[in-house]
Amino acid sequence: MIEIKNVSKVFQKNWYALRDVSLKIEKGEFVFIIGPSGAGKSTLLRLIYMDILPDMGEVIVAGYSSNTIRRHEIPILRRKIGVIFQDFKLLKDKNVYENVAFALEVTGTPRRKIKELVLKALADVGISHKRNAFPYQLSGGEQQKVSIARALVREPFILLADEPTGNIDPEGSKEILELLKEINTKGTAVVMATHQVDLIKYFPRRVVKIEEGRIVEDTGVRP
Amino acid sequence: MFVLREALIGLKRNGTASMISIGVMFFSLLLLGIFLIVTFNLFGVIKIAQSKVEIDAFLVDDIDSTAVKELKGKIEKIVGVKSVEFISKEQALKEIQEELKDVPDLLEALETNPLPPSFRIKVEEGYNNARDISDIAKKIGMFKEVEDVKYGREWVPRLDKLVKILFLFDILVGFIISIASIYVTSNTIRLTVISRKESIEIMRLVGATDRMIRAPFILEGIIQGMIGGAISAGTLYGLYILSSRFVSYYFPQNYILAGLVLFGMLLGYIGSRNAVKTYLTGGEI
Ligand SMILES: Nc1ncnc2c1ncn2[C@@H]1O[C@H](COP(=O)(O)OP(=O)(O)O)[C@@H](O)[C@H]1O
Ligand SMILES: [Mg+2]
Repeated sequence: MIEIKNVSKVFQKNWYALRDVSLKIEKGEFVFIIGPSGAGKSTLLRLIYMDILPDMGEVIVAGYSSNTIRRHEIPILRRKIGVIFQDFKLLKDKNVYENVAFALEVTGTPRRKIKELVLKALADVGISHKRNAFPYQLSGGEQQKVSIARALVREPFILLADEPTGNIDPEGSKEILELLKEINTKGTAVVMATHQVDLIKYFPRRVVKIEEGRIVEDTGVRP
Repeated sequence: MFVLREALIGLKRNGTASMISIGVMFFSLLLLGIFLIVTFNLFGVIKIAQSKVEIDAFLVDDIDSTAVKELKGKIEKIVGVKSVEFISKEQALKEIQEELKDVPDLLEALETNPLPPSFRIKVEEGYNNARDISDIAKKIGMFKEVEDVKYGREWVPRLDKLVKILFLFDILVGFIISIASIYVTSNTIRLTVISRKESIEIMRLVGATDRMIRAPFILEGIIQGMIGGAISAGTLYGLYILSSRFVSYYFPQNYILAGLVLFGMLLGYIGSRNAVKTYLTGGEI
């Protein structure tokens, strides 16, 4: 489903953000990408949703290869990938409902379907009761749930989470992790990048460790 | 629906810049409108003046009617000649008497008719310019029965030049105001693009197409042009109503008003497209 083959990424001269990285992620897997800050975790995720292309090697996602994908095909691929971030990336002038609906509106979903899909996504992450609130009225954990609802509203085959708990207190972090687990058990693959190694012990799954742009450890699939 | 809503939000969010943009568009289009109307009317005047350009061919005094007929036929065959009218000595005198009826003494002093018979020649529209008229006049002058040829020598070339200068001026003004409007709109849309960076980022993230991302900005530019055009059209119409009490002139209102709005929209479109192209080519891909 996702195949990363001998990928290198160089942002600045002679400085490899990633160096000769190979990784395979199967359907429905849960993978932690860990490593210190600056190790290359975000870069790896960006390669998967094709925000950037590799300088060497190849990234294959859902049948699209980084070597042959056309510009107009990227939006099509993105609709099947959910992405969440440390800073939530919610629109401040839109309320919870509108933030989730936004993802459907801009991809041309028929109006009558939007309401149904948004309400379902909000219910799935347990934030329905706050649907008229604005982001500034929500806690970090709640904002992250909204961004998860937005990522899930198109029913992606994979959810990429880049430090999803980085701005959330420990209690909220556990809750978000629980939510990601639940999403995973329903069949969506989850790739979560984090430098908070302590989180892993709550949920032992496959761990890929990156240091200075290289994969230094891969536990492989754990049941 | 989404596109329109986002475009309106964009207009409101950058209120001041939008206002300036609309204002410049308004002023430019008003200027263009005034220019067009002045041109229209001057063209009208010139057209009338040009249609009055005639060639008078004065004939020898003792020409007989068969010779007149023959010569008339020959002149009619010259390329560019529209009509040939024979003016006899008597007719010429009558016309002069008519023109000078306020000073009858002058004519009564004449014992014989000093006026020669003549042809009054009109040229076809396409030959209504200095060079062609002079060519035709030269050809007519070559017949031996023609003593002298006269036409509006002095003002034909001047009219010609005036038309050309006016036309160039219009194009120049149109060009300058177009550039100014496009530049200002482009700049306003750039501000909107910057203020909506987050929204654009999210749109990319969730898989909106480039076209969908650009559409609200393009529409915003078109709306600015439309508003600027509509206000300038309204103002111009108001000016026409006011001024028509004092001077009457030609005002093709439907063309002018619709034209200004449409032209404003076109300028807005070009401006915003330019901004989007320059500032929204995002990301590495
Ligand atoms: N856009 C960029 N331009 C230049 N350098 C970058 C860019 N993005 C990342 N880097 C560099 O690449 C390396 C890996 O970054 P990143 O993938 O963000 O690490 P992590 O997410 O593990 O903290 C870092 O050294 C970072 O400075
Ligand atoms: Mg990172």
